[in-house]
Amino acid sequence: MYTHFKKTLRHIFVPGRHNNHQASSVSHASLTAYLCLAMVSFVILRNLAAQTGNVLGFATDVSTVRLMTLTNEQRVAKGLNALVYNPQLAAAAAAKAQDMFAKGYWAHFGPNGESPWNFILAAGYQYDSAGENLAKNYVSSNDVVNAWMNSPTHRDNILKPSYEEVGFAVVNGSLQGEDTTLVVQMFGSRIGFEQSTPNQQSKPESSNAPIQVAAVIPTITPLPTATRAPQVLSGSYKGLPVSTDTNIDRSQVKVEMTKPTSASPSLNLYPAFRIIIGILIALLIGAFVIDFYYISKSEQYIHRGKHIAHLIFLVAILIAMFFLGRGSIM
Amino acid sequence: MKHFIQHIHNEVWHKNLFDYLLITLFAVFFLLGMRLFSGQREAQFFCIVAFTVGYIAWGVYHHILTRTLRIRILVEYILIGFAVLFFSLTLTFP
Repeated sequence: MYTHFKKTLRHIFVPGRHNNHQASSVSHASLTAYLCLAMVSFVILRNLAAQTGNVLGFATDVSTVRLMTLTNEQRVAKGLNALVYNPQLAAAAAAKAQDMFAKGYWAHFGPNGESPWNFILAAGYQYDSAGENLAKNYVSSNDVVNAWMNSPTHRDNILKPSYEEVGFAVVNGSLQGEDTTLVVQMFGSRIGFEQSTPNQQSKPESSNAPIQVAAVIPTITPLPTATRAPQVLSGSYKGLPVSTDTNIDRSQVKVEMTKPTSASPSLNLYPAFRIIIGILIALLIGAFVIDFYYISKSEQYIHRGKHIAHLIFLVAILIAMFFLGRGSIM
Repeated sequence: MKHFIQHIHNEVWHKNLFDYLLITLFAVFFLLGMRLFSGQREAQFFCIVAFTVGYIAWGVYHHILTRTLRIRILVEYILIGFAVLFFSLTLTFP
């Protein structure tokens, strides 16, 4: 039994006469199997995304409930008040996301000078101080909040003591011809709110771009229809403390610690696929290193591709996997 | 291990230094591109396609120069390149 196992391993990994001086793990048959596996994994993930309603062909596990929970967890951990969900700020965030899709920009300020504060005021929210965080193309809520917390300016927004309320929008659409998931987070504290800090009045905060307050309340005109209508992914706020007026009972604010229910099975599979693909590429690298080692030792060179080139290619791809599936913040 | 190190040294330093510098340069630009276009799925995918095509082209170029180009060698590069391309596609567009 042991001898048979050893012989099989030798056949798979060690080149020699028994396998025509090429380890079967890096033979054409094995590489073809790798290619088939790659194609099957791609088809499976795409089909799962399509079945779960991600009509634009991409999937995201970002939810407003989870974003709210994670944001408040960060604040509570720093001894700050938990933010209350405000529908007006959420409406402002949704309008901002729709505007970015309609006009094709990815910034705090629109091409015609539209500022975040315009959207907040247009939604009927009279702010004392306000702020905005943006993210796009993240796969999970945790990734979004982690990215914001790793950026000093975004972290300052999340941990600003004067903010009392927050609204989120998670919207799918086509931005500059690319399928995109936009996340807009808008913070605010209303004029006359008890806990507002006096010295922060009339100073909206926007990551990367401090600006002056807009003096005129703008009206938002209906947006032109995009080629693909943006799809709001997270419109349900059930279970979150909702602010309807300025008299907020802070005892009702609780940080939800339960895990969110998954809206998309494909997203549960994404981290698993990421690990499995990483392992498969690492295995291929290992197989080439072993094959290369024994070939150089036996000096039995047959007509083969260059191991060093294969290894440079595979290692670069393995490193690049860290940059795949990551979004960007603004 | 001595044979292994010696073989790598001969192969890279004495025989094909320019060729390996070229593919290393491809890899460096590829990684820079991936970092630069973080969050832009289509741009990242373009980087992966460009690197894969560059890798296969490098294989053809190198084996033509060393007069060792065979169909089975070309197939080896294509199989590795396309397998990695599909794996990357899976992760780029979840």
